[in-house]
Amino acid sequence: MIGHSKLLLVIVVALFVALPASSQTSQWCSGDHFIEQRFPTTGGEETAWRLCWRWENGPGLIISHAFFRPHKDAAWIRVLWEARLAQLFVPYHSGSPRYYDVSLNFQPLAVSDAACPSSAGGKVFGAQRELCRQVKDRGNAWIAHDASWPPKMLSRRGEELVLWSVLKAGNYDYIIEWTFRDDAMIIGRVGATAYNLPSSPYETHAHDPLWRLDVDLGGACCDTVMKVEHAELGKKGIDTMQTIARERDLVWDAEAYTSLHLVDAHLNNGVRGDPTSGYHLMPLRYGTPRHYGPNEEFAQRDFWITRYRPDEVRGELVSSYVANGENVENADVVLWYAGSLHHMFRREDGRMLDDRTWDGTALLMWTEFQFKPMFLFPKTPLFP
Amino acid sequence: MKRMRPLLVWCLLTAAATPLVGQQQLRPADPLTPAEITQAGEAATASASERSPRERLELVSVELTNVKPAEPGRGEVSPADAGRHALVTFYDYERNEGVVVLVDLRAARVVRSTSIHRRAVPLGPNEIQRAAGIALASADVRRIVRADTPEVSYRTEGRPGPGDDVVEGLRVISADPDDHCSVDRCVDLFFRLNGRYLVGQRITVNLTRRTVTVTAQEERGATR
Repeated sequence: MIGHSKLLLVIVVALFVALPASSQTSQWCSGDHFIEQRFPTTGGEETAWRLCWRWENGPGLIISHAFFRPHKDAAWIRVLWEARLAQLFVPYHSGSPRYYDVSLNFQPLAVSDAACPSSAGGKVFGAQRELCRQVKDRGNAWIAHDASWPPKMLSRRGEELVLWSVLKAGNYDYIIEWTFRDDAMIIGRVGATAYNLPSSPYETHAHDPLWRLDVDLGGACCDTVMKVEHAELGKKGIDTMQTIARERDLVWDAEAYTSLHLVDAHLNNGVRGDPTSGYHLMPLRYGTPRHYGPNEEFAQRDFWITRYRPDEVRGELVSSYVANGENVENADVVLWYAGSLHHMFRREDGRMLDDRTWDGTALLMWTEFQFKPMFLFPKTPLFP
Repeated sequence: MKRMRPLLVWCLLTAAATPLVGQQQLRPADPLTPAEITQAGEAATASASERSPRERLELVSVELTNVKPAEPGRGEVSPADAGRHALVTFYDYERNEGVVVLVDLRAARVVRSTSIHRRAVPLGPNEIQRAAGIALASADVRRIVRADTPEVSYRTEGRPGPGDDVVEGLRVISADPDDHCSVDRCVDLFFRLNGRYLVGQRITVNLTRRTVTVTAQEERGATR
């Protein structure tokens, strides 16, 4: 028969085993709001993401505290403090109305199982069913050929973690989507769908999302942003990288492939001679938004670079945020990027019925950007 | 076993001081709890009402924010040091501008209060309902949206069913300086009859002046 003291010892040891693991103390969020995704989804880990998500009425789905691990034995690298949609400007061709669709404070549109099927790697989370989390194949990550003749194809399929919610803004529904790929790339997308404007369903208009990316690569401090552009000089091409020293706005030039390169002063991939690690902000667009109503300076540029301030989160005020020209070199910086959709009516959007109600829905239209790692890995990831 | 008693006592005291299984502390990026939302709203309202009458302040939103150190060093910010903060936004009808109050939830104090341009203030949860009330008080609007039909009953709150009659709204800012909605707080309303949007009329409510304007829209660019 076990003695009282030994029984007491067993109980105390059992208590310690049952308590939450100490590794939880390094987490920024808990429960379903904490996500750790390892890739590949079968087999041993090669890369991984760790992040938090939440819904806020207004801006919708917010990603925070995103860390990446380029190898299972590597330390976690912070990439984002926070990423969000800061505004979604919708001006109509006649000049009126002009809507600010991230200004409505609505609750999320609950995600249905049909929209987030398990067959597509999906599962719904959140007390309001506000998040669809999908882990899925993203196609070929790379294709190459070996040295044999005829050459044999070599390839690797990639995977990604996709998080999306739906912001219901009156008649329109907007999918706010964030993708975290196994190769450390981040993709931000906004999709517009649902019903054309009831008061003017045939009128052309734009949907202009403005994203706010609080990038803290390798930590909050010590990041610098450069404007990267290409130019043709005769038969030669050159690339230039101009350091952005002060808060400002920038224009995207299609012929220059304008992108922003954010680099950390200290983070490196361990390869001698390589520059320090960074990320490229690369637009994916089929047009450039420009609108000239009063106080619409935010709609007249493509990029902004600001110094971090916790209450500077309103996209329509971004031009005021750069007015004092604070230092953003080797600092805690925030990137802003404007995308656009130009929506011309087509019959596929719907029709008016005899009772003057609308039947039909605008099919999904997307605008997006890529945030691509540079010199984060010491070699090609996921290879071979 | 006598020699183990001090060790056992130490283990018991440590276990008692540690949170029990299933009871977790809030982490910095966890969503705000209802109690925190109330706490932040009350602290921010007290601060904002030092400038304008409380009844003229529309509480628009209470949002979580994680505040970083003013001069972050090279190291990673620890979650244990991050704290929890809320950004509380008001529309001040007295001054026709926005007020953003940063509240430190753990210290239970207001960090700072900032005025922002009125165009950057979202609609509050009650403002669409109020706009619908103003609009439906108009006989013209009631006729257009068939509100006087016995079968029609527009809902502006609660949980409507899929085929219900519903009023929705979007905040609108006019680009025409001669339009009061370039300055005032305005809402475009949409009416769903039997679940479908009524088309062809623009119904705009000026919340600042408590007026409603109806504009017939031309059908441009398409045939039925």
